[in-house]
Amino acid sequence: MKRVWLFPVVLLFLTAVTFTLMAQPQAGGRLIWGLYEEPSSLDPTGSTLAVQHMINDHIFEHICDFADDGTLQPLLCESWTVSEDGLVWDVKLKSGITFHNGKPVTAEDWVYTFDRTRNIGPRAGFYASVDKYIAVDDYTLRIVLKNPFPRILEMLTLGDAYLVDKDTVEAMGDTFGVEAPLNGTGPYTLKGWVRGEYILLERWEGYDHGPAWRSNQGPAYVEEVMWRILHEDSTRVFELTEGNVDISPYVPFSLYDVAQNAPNIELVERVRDMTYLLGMNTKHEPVDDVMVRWAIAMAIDREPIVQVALTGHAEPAYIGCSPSQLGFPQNSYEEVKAFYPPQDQDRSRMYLEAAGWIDEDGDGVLEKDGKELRLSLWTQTGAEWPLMAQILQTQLAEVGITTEIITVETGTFYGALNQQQKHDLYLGMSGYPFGLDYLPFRHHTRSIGGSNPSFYDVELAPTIDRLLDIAQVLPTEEGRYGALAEGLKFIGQASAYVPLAWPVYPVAWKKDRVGGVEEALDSIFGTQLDFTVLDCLEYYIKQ
Amino acid sequence: MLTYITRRLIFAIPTVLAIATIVFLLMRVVPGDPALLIIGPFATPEQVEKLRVQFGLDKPLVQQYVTWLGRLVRGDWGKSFQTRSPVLPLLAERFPKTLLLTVFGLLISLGIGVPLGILAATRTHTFVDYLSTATAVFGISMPMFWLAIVLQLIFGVSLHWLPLSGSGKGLLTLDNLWHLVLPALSLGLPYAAQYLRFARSSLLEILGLDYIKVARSKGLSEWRVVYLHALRNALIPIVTLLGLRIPWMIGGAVVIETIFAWPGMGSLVVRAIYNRDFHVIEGFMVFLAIMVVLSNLMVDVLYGVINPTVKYD
Repeated sequence: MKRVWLFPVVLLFLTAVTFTLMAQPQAGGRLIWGLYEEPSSLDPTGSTLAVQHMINDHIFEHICDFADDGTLQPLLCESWTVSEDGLVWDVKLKSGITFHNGKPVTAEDWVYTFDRTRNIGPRAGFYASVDKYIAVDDYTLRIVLKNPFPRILEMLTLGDAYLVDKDTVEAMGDTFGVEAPLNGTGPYTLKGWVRGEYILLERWEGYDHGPAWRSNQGPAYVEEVMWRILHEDSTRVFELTEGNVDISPYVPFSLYDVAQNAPNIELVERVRDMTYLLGMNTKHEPVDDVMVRWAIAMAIDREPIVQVALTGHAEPAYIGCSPSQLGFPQNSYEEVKAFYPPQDQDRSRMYLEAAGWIDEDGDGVLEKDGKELRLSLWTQTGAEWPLMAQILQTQLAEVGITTEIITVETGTFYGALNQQQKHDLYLGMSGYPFGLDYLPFRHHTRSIGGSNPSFYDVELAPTIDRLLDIAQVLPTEEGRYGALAEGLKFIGQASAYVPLAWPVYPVAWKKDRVGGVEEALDSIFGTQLDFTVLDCLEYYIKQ
Repeated sequence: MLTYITRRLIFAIPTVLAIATIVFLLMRVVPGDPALLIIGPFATPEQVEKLRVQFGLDKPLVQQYVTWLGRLVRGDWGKSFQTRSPVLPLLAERFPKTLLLTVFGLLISLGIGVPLGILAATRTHTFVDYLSTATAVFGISMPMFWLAIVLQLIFGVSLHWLPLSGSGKGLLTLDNLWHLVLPALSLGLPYAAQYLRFARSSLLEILGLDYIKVARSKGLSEWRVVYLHALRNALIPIVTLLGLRIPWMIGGAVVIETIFAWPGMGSLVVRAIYNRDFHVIEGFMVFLAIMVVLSNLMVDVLYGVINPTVKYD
């Protein structure tokens, strides 16, 4: 009788322990992704496809990487030092790291990997400042630069700079990346790949060196990860709602209500690191005239584009950098925005008149020297592009500009722009997590004929080039982002690209089955799960 | 007959080569640089050019053609730009799944279309005939992709009777065949409508001939008149349609394979088209050309089987 009080205490204790254990992620199970595209290879130098990066992030690792707060942190290294002249970087590697087959990782492996990346990788040009990589000893990698480049380690977090094993690459030859083994250092190994059907990964039990910002340092909770190849949007969403797929990293807007109305589906939207834009071919009259370009920009009302063409799943964009890109001028946004043409149709008409365009015959279309203001607007096939083009056509007509819409198949669109060069205006979308790379890719004159089909040969181009170049090499992050903000101002002034909207990226998953997804989305890169570093360590199957 | 078949096969070779040549030229004319599409937008012009050299795309068109043709006749169908693996094994790996889908689609279209056509022809101007005609019009009118999604919604999502996508485990296993039901129905039903119309009109024409009147006047049962005397002759146009439709069905399988994530050649070719993977597209078209030739030959042979008076020398 004296010990009767023990019973409820023990019961309470056991209950608390049980609930605590239940709240902990449990190991095991198979997580199934519905992928909208199948990578052609898992060789890190194979391509820049987002889906490849998403899968590779389970198998391979970088020398350092971005933490969830956006700061660069060591991953397979411990620290790094830079010489005073900024030309020599010594990276101290972690010891005790092995490939999946047990072979220890040394500096030689990094030399091989990085040489491969800069010789055959899809972003080889990004490493132009590198002179050579040297293995000083087993655990010291030296990077010798031709010129100071403070962002070199940032570049080495790109998708083509994952650590690979030289022996495996050479043994597999052409089949490296398409067959097992891949032999990375990450939490998963490639178990099987049935082309057109699925890619299957298996947990590596030896993984124990997860990044500090992850709640789990390894091994991963989920035993197997399957990537089912489901190109068709409706099929992928149905498989999710029927419970045959656990996560879909992309849900088309047209099927939002199907996903949202299904039981136990969580759908989250985040603004992407991309921008829809209207580009102008500054080699063509009359858009070679900055007053005409400003007039076009001022005629555009972004709200119908967002609400109608993008069905409300976007935010209007007023500067050429997305809020989800590293380098977005958080503190000087209004200051930068002031350099971009405001929406004002009356002012647009005034600019056009000042440029000599007048409606002489009263038909609503402006003329100059007997020639009508008639522009071609090139767009791609797809759901939103023709709608956006029609909205712009209507808005430009209101200020007296006639546009002819030319629709080109998506696969040939950019090639057609560069090769045919017949466009006056075009609709495009692009982006990248790092503004410091994205803006030169889009706006630098060295990108003309490639990723810059606006032939950015305008008066402000040299200024923009210099600012974007200096942003790469300034020693502090504050300095780099400050230069980027200045570059954005001049980009706005030149008005060869008019930002229209920042799209959102929808991710949906079965919340009664999968845990850990919210933690991944909270990352600064949670705009897209293809760039959230080693989030695979967070996921678990709920029991 | 053997001589005839041999001669047809020999004449098929230049036909297939001519088709392959047209496809080769079309792929080089279509806008889009495969090297740029593969290596991505961040590559330097030097990298893109290096890849073009690796693919042989820097050579003059005539040289590219001669090289390609020489390899083709030696059985080397080139390598995929995307996967860098040989095209022939890539297609061969996917061929069984496409064949399975096409065969079952064909069985469904014939198995539904021909009997219904016979029913309609033997019960003209009745409710059965009108219903069959209406069904045929509906079937011919509806787009295949629309039917596929509707079947998914009904049988996969609402009723949970059938799998939504994938091909299951193995080939010709129960699981595989279970996954095949919806794709095969989506492929076969629109064509069933066409066979229904052809069977009905063909049989009606035969049933109006004098020899059928003679057969009936002899007191033969209607069953014998229709199935033993009339149907054989009515099959000729159906067999003609069959020969035309087999390649169509393989082409139609492209859409069905994409919707149902059925890993056949069609879904491979769709991705190849988007990525300008020339050799995969060329390989598929050569294969399709061979299928057209073989199916036409099969039709001609079947004529001889159905109607022994048809002879080939």
